[in-house]
Amino acid sequence: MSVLDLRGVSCPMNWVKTKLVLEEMEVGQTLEVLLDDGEPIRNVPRSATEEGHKLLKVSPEEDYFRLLIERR
Amino acid sequence: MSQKGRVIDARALKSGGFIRQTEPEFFVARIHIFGGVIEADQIAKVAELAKRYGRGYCHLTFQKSIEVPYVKLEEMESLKADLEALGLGMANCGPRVRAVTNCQGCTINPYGRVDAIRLAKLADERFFGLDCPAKFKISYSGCSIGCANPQENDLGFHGMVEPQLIPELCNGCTLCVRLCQSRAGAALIMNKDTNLPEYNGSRCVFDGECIYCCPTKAWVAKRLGHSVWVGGKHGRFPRWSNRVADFVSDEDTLEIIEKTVAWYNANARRGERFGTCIDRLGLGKYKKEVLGDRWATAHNWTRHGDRPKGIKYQVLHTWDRGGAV
Repeated sequence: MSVLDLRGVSCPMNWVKTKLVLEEMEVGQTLEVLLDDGEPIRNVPRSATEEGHKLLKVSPEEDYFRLLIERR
Repeated sequence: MSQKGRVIDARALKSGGFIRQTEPEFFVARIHIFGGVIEADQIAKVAELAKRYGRGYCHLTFQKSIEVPYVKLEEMESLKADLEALGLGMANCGPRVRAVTNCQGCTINPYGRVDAIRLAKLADERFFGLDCPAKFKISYSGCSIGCANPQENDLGFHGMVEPQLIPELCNGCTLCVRLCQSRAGAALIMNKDTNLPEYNGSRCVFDGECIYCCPTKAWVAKRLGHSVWVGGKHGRFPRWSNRVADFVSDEDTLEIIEKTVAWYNANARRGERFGTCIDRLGLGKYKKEVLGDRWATAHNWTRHGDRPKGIKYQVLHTWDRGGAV
């Protein structure tokens, strides 16, 4: 499973990068994304689910979030 | 050109949207834009008119009107006719209901809860230009972020939504709990036993953040409506408005405007702003006579805006406390 570290990347570029990676993946594959607190965690999960992808898990780490997205 | 010998009724001109400039021979033409929305063709024509009648530029007002400065007195009627041909009217100035302002609401903004554009247009069509003791500003915002400044308008509305959880759809991701915008996030707490978020309505700010962020659509809207704020203003003596009712329907906001403007006209002194009038007569009188029992009183923590009871807050200025109750 690939990991995309987007800590320090601001909106909307973090979503653009996530989207580009997701588009290269096969349906059913999962991607782990690391996101900052605040705007990034507010917007990226929403954008992903709006485009039909499935959010499997949100795990809060110390000062960031670990997101598990399934490509749909 | 000198206007000597000619009698100019500046007050009548102001109500008709022409405002005298520093240079006495020129006037600013203030164009009324309903709901802040203007057709591309119209705005292109306005640009042409600004070149023909003004000095080739426009000014955007805080009430979302478009102004054409440097219009000559003798050309005002002609400009007005040209604007009317475009389907545009004049905005106003002086002691009356001003152009109703709004944000883009749910039409454009995914975070918006109500159709602020539609309501602002409706309110504008019905109440714009009504005479009042002083200026009277109305605004509609789509959500409780309140981009159209409901707290600084004589009468402000913002959309609000009460969330409800469908437990079967929740996967326990905790995103809503993390993103909850209520004070200290106290409206949502994760229950470790059930792995579900627990909702505390008395702490909720009704912005619908949980509905917005939920990846499984487990949060839905239980109730939608408007929060009603009265008596706000800026200027020399700014006044933070009082929140007086919650979850008011679209149609009822129009009725509240109608009744409020009538009450304002019946109770205020000449030149007295609505908030000052409320301070003089008491908010209770307004609530009793206009809102009555029909519109439920707002949350019990509304006296100081959005500050929940029992949570200490810093008073920034004395006027930050809202008006007398």
